[in-house]
Amino acid sequence: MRATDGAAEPETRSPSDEAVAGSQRQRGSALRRLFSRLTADTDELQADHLQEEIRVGGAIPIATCPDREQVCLVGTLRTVTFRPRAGVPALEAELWDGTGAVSVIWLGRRQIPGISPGRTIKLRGRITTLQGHRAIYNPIYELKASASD
Amino acid sequence: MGMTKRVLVGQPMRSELLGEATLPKKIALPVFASDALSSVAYATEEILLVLSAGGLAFFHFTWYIAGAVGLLMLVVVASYRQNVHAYPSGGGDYEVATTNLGPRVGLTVASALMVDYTLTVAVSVSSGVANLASAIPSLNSHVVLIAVLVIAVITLMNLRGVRESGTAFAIPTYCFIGAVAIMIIWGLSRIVFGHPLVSESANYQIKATGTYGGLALSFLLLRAFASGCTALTGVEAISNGVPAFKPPKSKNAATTLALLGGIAVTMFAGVTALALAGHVHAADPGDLVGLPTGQTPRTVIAQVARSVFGGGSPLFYLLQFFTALILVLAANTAFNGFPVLASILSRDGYLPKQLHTRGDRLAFSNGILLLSGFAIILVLAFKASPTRLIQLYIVGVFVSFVCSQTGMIRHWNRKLATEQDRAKRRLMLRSRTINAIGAGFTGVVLAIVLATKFVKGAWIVVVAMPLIWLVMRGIQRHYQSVAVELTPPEDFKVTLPSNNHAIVLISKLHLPALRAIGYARATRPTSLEAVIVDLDTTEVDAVRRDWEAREIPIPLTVVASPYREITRPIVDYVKRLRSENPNDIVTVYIPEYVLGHWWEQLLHNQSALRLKGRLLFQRRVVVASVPYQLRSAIRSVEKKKSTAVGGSGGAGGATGTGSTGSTGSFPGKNDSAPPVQSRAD
Repeated sequence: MRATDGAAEPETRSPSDEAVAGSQRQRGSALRRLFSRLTADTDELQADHLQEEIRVGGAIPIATCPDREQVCLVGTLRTVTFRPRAGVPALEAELWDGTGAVSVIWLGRRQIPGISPGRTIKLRGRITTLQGHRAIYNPIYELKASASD
Repeated sequence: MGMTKRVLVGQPMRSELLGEATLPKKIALPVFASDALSSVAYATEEILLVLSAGGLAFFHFTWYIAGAVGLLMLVVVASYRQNVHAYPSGGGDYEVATTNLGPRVGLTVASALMVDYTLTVAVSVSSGVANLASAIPSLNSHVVLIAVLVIAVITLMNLRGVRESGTAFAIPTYCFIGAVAIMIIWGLSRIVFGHPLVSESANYQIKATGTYGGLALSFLLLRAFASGCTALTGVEAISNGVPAFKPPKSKNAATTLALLGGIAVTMFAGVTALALAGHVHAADPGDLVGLPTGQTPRTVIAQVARSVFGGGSPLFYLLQFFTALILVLAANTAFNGFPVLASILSRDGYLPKQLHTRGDRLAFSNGILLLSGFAIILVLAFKASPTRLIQLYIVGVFVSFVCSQTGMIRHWNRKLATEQDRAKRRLMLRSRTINAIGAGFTGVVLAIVLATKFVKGAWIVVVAMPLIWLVMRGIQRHYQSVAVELTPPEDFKVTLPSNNHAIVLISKLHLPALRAIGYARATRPTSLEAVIVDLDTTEVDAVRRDWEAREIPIPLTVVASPYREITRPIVDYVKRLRSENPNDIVTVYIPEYVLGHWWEQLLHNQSALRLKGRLLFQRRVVVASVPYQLRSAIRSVEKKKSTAVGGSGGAGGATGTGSTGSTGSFPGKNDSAPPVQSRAD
């Protein structure tokens, strides 16, 4: 159940779509791009960067995820929450990929080396909805290389 | 800071002592009348200065102009006595105009009066310093500095309280009145016994700056009359200061006004007569032929004194000194009127609320400081030149005269419409006639003043008054709109928040953070977690290990900070915490260090303050600071307590500061030992 599900999922975007999008980007004037870069929020800049990562990693944006499906997501961890020793062991993190956020919960672990805030990871798992928020439990994760590695 | 204020201003006074801060008539007369009396010192000079434009021959018009001014003064004094009886609450012209003519006219009067008071201070102090320099000519190069210093001293004396300034200022005024009376009697007796007076400028010729005939002549005469009307400034001060009189307030105030009118007219007539008899020639220094170069001409009253008493006589120096002193004290009258007016205006919402209540010494401290600030600006801008400042002076005074007299006419009309008693009606009719004559006269004079003085400086006032009017209206509209916004609607029910999501912001697990966590847990929120920003990974790891070791029972959330900042990641996280439910709130607990010395505070809490500022703008977010008093704070509190109690810490010192706190709720926390006092702990 784990190994095959995510990997065989075809990409939602076809190669021809991609070419059109690329040329559209180039057709937007250089001035407009400069202006948008200057006035953009840092969040927007990061979102743009993450869009690139999603495309490269073969993942889909969180905003387009259908419910209760196996998905492949790429994003950064905005927060990581450690549960107290007295409670049920779980590690919670919030993954953000520029289009939406999803709670990632690893049950049974208190900490995972490498899962730290600011880290870019790639997940494969089934996405659900928990009290109005999207969540993924115990996904397969790949850590993207960071500066400290 | 506190000690400096005590030394300068004195011990604070309780409100019950306000009754003691009222004045008996013999002290109220000098306090409120010094403005009107002191303008005698420069009114004659102003008339002569204007007439000098036509040459020496025009000086014989002075009699008629002085006569007209004297008559006008008597009319205005009589009119104001009606004001004082009808409106004894101290609102003065402002209250009369607002009640009878509407709030817009009232506000016009208020702005005119505020300009008038500021100029009173500036003109009186400048003229006083000029008179001082007439006695000691070497001061002529430092007039601006001396004027500013004098204003500062008056401000301080007023901040110390009404009663004290009353007594201190009564003596010089009576001395001035006495000295001028002696001078007039002596001068008149000299003339009667055949020793004519000769002033030092009698030999100077005056270069006429133009030929005046027909219309130009009448215009010049009107200008001189308008300048002479500065003698009337100060009459309205009593109507603003009626609450400062001892009861029966109205009657005492009216009597003081009558006394004031009599003394002022007599002095003005006497000084003018002596000036003309002694052939005083006053003009711009450039137009005086025969004046030694570089010498500033003496003021008219100085020249009269010299001609009566003789040049080196001690009486001359005394008179100059008292003149300078009373002019300085005339500025003090404005310090009694302006703060009361500012307090009433701020009660009505036209000025900021800080001007409303009395300060430590039962004086309106903020109003006093505001007035002195503006006056200093004026003195600096016009280089302490009385003649230039007087051009601005008269407009404001006469605007408020006209408005208040017209208001009084309306007042009597209203009263007459319902009054049946024959005797009372007669009194009211008489009052109304007096006020009508007053309104007519002052209206004509206002037109004259505006026409003649506009180019010479009155335009500044004509521009400033509407500006002040607009600012005050703007302030009132703001206060009103805020009040409307804050009033709960009819059917408003307080709803409790359904969920309280709490977070405690920490950077290290030290005593303040542990205290904040404990306090947050005690408030029993719906959800609670500790939040730390991931600025330094090793430190965050250390905090996490510490958090595990201490077995703190709340989750620890580490927030990513890709751009190495604290504020924005936290604000974004707080925004995400707020759910869709509009009844949820997020409480943010921030530990705060409390330090004893101001320089220490610069070194701490900076990011916490920035965070608080940003978070306060978020809706449905409450920010709570959990203080932790460091030793320097405890020491400074105990130091204050021991100086207040006056001894070696008798009553057990600082018990409630909570630094020793409740033991045992924070694992691993040590009680900090009380630094100064030994307690059985």
